[in-house]
Amino acid sequence: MVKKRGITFWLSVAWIALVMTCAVGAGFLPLPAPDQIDWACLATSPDGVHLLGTDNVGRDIAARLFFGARVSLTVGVIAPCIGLVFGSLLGVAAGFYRGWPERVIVGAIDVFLAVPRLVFLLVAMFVFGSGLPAITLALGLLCVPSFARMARANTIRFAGREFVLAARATGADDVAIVLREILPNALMPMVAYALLVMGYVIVAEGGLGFLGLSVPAPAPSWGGMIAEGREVLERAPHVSMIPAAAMFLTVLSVNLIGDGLRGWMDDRESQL
Amino acid sequence: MANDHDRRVRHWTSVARGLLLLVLAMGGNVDRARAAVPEHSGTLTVAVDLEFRGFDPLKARYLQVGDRSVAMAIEERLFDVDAKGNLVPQLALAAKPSRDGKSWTIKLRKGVVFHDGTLFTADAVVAHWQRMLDPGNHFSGLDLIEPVQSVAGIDDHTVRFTLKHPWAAFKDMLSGPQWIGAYIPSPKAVREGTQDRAPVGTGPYIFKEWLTNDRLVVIRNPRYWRKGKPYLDRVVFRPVPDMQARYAGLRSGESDVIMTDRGTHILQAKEDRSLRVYSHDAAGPYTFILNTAKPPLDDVRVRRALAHAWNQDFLLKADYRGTLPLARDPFDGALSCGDTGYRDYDPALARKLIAAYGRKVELELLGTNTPRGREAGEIMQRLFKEIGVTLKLTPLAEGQMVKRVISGDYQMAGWRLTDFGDMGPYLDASLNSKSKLNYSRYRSPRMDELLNIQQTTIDGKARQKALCGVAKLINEDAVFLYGGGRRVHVIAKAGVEGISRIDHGVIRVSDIWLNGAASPPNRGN
Repeated sequence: MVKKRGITFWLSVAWIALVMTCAVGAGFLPLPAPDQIDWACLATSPDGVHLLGTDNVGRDIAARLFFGARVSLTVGVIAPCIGLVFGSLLGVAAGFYRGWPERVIVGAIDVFLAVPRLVFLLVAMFVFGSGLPAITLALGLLCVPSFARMARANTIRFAGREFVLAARATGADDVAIVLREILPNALMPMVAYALLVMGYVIVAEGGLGFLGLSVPAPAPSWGGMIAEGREVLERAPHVSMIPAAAMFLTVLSVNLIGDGLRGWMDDRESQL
Repeated sequence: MANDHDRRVRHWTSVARGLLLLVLAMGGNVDRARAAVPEHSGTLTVAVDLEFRGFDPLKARYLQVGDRSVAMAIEERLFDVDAKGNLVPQLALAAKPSRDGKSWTIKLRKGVVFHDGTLFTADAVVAHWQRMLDPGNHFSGLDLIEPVQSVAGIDDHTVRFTLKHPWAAFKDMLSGPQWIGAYIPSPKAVREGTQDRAPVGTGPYIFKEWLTNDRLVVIRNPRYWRKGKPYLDRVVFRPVPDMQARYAGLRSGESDVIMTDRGTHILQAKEDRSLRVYSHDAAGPYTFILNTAKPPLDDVRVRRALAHAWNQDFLLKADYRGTLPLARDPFDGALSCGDTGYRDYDPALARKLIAAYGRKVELELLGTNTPRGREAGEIMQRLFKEIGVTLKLTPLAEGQMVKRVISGDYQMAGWRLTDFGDMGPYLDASLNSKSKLNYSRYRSPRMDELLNIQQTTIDGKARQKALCGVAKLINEDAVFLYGGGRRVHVIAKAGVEGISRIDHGVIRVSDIWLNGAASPPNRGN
């Protein structure tokens, strides 16, 4: 029996859909370019001309918010995917074969987890420069260990189950067992987890943006917008607060959606 | 225990002070009592923007604005300068030029002792200057004092400077509070190699400790030659790079005086009755330095185009909230040149110039990785985009940026001219084709000629004409872009008394005392 999902779940879905629409449609909306300066309007409040007001150098906040959403969403979607793909590969290999592959992979994961995350990101940005691909890749790599651990645990759990033994008895080889029997079952909880990671990654990108290490100017990013508004926080709080609110709602929404999906998945698994 | 005792004593003194003020208040004399009696006690905390560079001229090379207040607390110059630019005796008593202007005889003060016990004599001055002049020492400011031929002691308290030619700016090089070479260090500390991290001078305060990136502490010099000074027991200088944190620290009572250039804070502090804002205009504006040796900036049309595409006025409005004046020449009112042909914002003209150049222009701007640096960069990026010039922003730590500019590995960078009282020698060092400090790698025979005239003539009018000619040529050839006039701001709590001026950003801590009555109640305890 599938539980009914509450209003918060659907509100979250609606918000994410809205953010995605804005990000995709940013170029088609009747908005000024995100780096267009309105000489006469410095840090003005929301009005008819500028829907969400302007920042300290007279750029339209709505335009910057929408274009910034592209960065947040790109990073938020692709980085967990990188983690999911590589983490699953490593985790399933470790959990399925056990023995020395497991020892090597688990050891490598432990070593990687011991590296402070912020330090890793700062070094990566310093070495590869701060572009969108570099940020996405660095954040994706950071996600790999947790996905790998989860994949390994799930693989071990399923590898001993009856349907796997049955498949082996029918003469299926390793690849077929992993692809047909284990992955479909192990993957579902990991997809739900990926949504939680998405929230984490969006916040991490925001942190980098705040430190001025996210996408290079003139491309806007939410973290960068929050940092820029810090200067005029007392006088024009909306410059910081609007992107902060957008980021908060987005992260909250992904988390709620993730929770909802996990509940659904648990129900499904209990029927297995 | 000692702390407890101290606190109790302080408590009772403050009660006594309160009673005294109450009595005086009944007589209607509070204000006079406050102003007239500086108190000889207390600790002052000064927050500056950057970690200190050090104080040995050869190693530190120059003083950042925040370093100057420390240097002036510990060390002294031969002369101070008053607000009108006249020499005021400090370690020296009088300076007299020879008739031909090619040598200066300077009488020194007697009975002054360095903090390490060495007597201040002509030897200290001679050793300091010879060390800077010795080509083997590679002092980076050597080009600034190039006209000085030699320095010799006549007797224990007289020195003679011999010049290669008459030099109008000589007095400024003896007295400028912004120039590291003007401060006379203890010859013993210099010999032992400790001057850089533990400076020794003759000043009102003695160096106590310097914890990197945390604090530099000085304590009262009990043997200071100027009787009755200084007033404070201790001064703590703290580098606080984050402007927001610096201002918040002032509001919360962590520091008593801060330097800032943040327009929002300055305007806010002006409204706040518990704070006082001091400001000072100087020569040496903020600039964007251009590497005129590298294409495409070696082409004067491109540089002119950038000058017309750039909108200094808007930067000042957006980034500084109008707290800095517009700069059109290097002198900022210290020398009035009239119209120097400043290139106003004119994107149409800029586009024409770029079209005449005929190739695609792509540039990189090095900026500090601070909100200030980023904001200015993004404004410039947008302005240049309008004339079809792509600008890549590279944020760097200040030290890294300076290194790249010095080595010539740059196209444009956020920069500033040093704020000398007499800009002549500095402009000569920065723009003369033969100078090693010419980081824009600008070569122009006309500029060299003008610089030569202002360096060698002591005829005031001819010199002013040459200096104004330099300013005009800077605009004509668009040697650099201006980023706002040099106006320094210091914000102090209302209880901090005795700040009469902050020329060149120097907080003269020897003049400061703390007025307990005017301080907020959380002070001290």
